[in-house]
This record gives sequence, structure tokens and C-alpha cells, in this order.
Amino acid sequence: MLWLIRAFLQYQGTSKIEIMCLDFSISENEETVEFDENTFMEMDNLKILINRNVKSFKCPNYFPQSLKVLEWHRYPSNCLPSNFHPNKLVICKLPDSCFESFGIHASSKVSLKRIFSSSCKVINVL
Amino acid sequence: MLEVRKVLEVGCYDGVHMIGIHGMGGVGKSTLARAVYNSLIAENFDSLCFLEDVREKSNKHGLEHLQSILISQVLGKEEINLTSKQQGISMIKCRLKRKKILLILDDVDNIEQLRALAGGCDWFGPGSRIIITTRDKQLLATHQVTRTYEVRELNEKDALRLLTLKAFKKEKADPDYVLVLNRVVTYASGLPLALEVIGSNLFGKSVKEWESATRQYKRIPKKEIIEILKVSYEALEEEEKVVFLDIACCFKGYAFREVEDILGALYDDCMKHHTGVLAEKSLIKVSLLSTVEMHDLIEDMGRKIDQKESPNEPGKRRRLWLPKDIIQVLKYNMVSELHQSLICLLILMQSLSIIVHIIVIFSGQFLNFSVYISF
Repeated sequence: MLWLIRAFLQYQGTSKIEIMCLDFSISENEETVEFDENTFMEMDNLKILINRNVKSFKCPNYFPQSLKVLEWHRYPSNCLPSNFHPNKLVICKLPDSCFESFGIHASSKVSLKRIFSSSCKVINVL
Repeated sequence: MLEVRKVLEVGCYDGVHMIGIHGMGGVGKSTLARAVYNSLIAENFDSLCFLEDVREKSNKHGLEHLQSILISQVLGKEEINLTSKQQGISMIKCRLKRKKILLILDDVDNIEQLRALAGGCDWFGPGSRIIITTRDKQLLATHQVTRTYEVRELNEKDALRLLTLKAFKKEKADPDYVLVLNRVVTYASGLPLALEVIGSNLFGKSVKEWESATRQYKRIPKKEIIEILKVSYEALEEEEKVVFLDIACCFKGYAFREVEDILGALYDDCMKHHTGVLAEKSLIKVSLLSTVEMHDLIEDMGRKIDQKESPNEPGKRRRLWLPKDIIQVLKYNMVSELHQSLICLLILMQSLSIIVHIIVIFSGQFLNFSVYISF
């Protein structure tokens, strides 16, 4: 019985993923990519997340704490998920989005080196 | 190159000529086109335009994007927003009709690309020259390009010269190496790309190391170029391999600074060393516009290696970049909630079975059974 559980846990694991890069070509972009709010829930080793041209309407409500680079064009929300502590985040690029702030959780340990957000008026980084 | 210039008939001012350069991948078509372009800059053209990687760029950004680059470069204006390919075609026809231009369409693989960017000789002003590079000779015939030039593999003498130059950074090699150099040349089958990558890989190595590399090349059946390139990959250190695959799969064409920043977040300062090694081995190149480029055969090689990591379960790979894999993983993640409830059920059943077990043991003792049925 135990091995069955273990097999299940292993099978569903996406925790090996470290880099996710969504930069689709035009023909591919016609396919719909649906983000679930919890899409990134199980990718607890994700370090680089780049979304250059895939539109999404739902906003993820979870980002793994391991995230170091976040680039998301037209990010659909004005803040990052509230339970996300961007302690490890080094680069955060959210061009053409309505992103405003890192929220109350941004600790003083934020190691951000580069922040870009072209259409943002003000970014409150502590 | 002189032959190409002859085909071009640069001096002639009548008419518009389209010239096709064809040949297999890695043989040096783009390099030749670049050299011709550079040598013609001084000639009397109204404007020049070199469209790189038409195949890849039109896939990624659409033909309208390339059309707008062409128009804006020729007219010297800022980028124009085109709403459709058709609008692009009529705009090129109308605005460039009187311009004498030199246009290079590099790496074309589809007739649509030619129809949208250089549909006919009457699109451009007299004296214009359009150079098209492609792997597909048939494509040129379909587009009625009759002036063609085939880039052939290097002959042995030139191949040896190129290899020597890449491996020793000088014209003449140490006499000790002559034998082994000649052997390596035969494996590269006259492809400049292969010679460059092999040569860079063996730069500064001893004769012994050269010999062991030759043995590796010897094992490759049919001298497939991808396999030849792979030997250079295998010679990298572990982390260099990882960085190479990261770039091949996700960051080709990105600004060099950007790649350094992004991967620097993962590998700290070692990153600079790694990219340095990759450039020395000719696996990556930093372009004039400071973007990270690699030959598409090298890119193919890297992507194939990455795909092999976990061929059937993309969720178990380190990188996710292929759209169909991403779609699969995301869909899969959505059903994983179902999995979670299944797991709960399994755990429940497991604990139930333990309880039953215990009851059986106790009742066995109580009723003084000597044997009980084990689950």
C-alpha cells in the first residue's frame, strides 16, 4: 500500500522544475494556456519564471518561495500573491502591467537588484 | 565571394535582381551573405537592410514584424505598426518602389516569407539587389529566383586551414599535430561550423587529448553534424553544461546582460566564467547588438539533450519551455487536486488496514488462535 502512495506522490511531482519560460511563437499562441490560481503550488523548486507573451486572466494566488527571477509581461494583478515572501527574489520585471506594490509582506531582507515595470507609476519598495 | 559578386552584377543599374544562396546547415551561407553585405555597404545603394533569422523571427513575431523592420530601416523612420500582412505588402510596394536597396533575407524556409517581404522584382527601385539564403533550393525555384549560388563544403586544404586557425589561433600548427589534425578534418566533412566548434574545443590541448577526441569522433556514424557538436558539449564541466542548456532552451536571443542577470541569480558570479567558456568553445556568440546567439544546429543539439532528460514526463524536467510540455504540465496540475483526494483516501485505507491488523492480533491473542490471517 505504501509504495502506491509513494508512486502517486512521485508521479504528480513537478517539484523538479526550476525554469519555466513561456515565450511562444505566434502559431503556438493560439492554443489556450489556462493558468489555474494554484498552478505554481506544487512547483516548490521553481527559480525562474518568465512569461513573455501568454495572456492570462486569472491571477496566480501562490508563488513558490524559491522564486529568484520573475518576469511576467501584462501581469494581471496589481500585487503579488499575499502569501508570497519575495526574500529570494533578485529580479522582478512586470512590464505593461498594473502592478503597484509588493504588499505588506515584503520584508527588509528583499534582495532585489532590478525592478522594471514600464507602465507602473509608483512602486513601493519599502 | 567574388563569384557571388559576379552573380550580383552590382555595377548594373538596370532592373532588380534576386539572388539565392543555398546549401546545407552550418556550411556558411549566412556568413557569406554577411560578408557580401559588408563589402557592398560602400556601393551606391539608397538603403541597406539585413533581416536575420527570417524563419525563427517570423515564427515568433509574425511576418508583419519583419515587414515593419524592413520599411522602417529603408525609410529611416521609427517602427511602424502594421495591422496585417497584406497592409505590409502594399506599404512595401508603395514606399520602396523608387528606392535602390540592398536587402538580405537570411534563413528563409517558407514561400510565404518571400511573398510577404520580397514578392516580386517590381517592388523595389531599379538597381536593387535582394539576396536570399536558404537550405531549400526548391524554394528559390518556386519563387522564380534563377540566379543562385550554392555554398559547398570546404575542400580539405581550406578545412585544414580553418581548423588550424581555430585550434591554434595561428596559421601554422605544431608539426606534432599534423597527423591528428588531418584525421579530425575528415570527421568535420568540410562544414565550417563543425570545424569551428571542434577547433575551439581542442584549443590548447595536448596531442594525447586530440587523439582521444578523434576516437570519439570516429564512433559517430554517418558523421552527423549534431553528434559532432555534441562531443564539445560532453567536454564541458557539469555546471557549464547546465548553463549551456539553459541558454539553448530558454534564453537564445536575449540581451547578454539580461542572461547574465537571470542566470547570475541561479549560479552567482561563476556565471561570467561559464559564459566565457561557452563563447571560447564557439557554442555561443555575442552578437553586435549584444544579444546571446547560437547557431541553430547547436541550439537543436541542446534542446534535444534537454528533451531526453525525462521524455515522457515534462513535469520532471529542470526546464519547461516547449509550449506543448507547458500545456501538459499545467493541465496536469489542475487535475492534481483529484490526485490529492485520492491520496487522502489511500492514507485512510492504509490506517484502516493497520487498525484491522491490530484488532486481529489482539483478538487472536484473546481467543488463543495460533494462526491469524496476515494482511
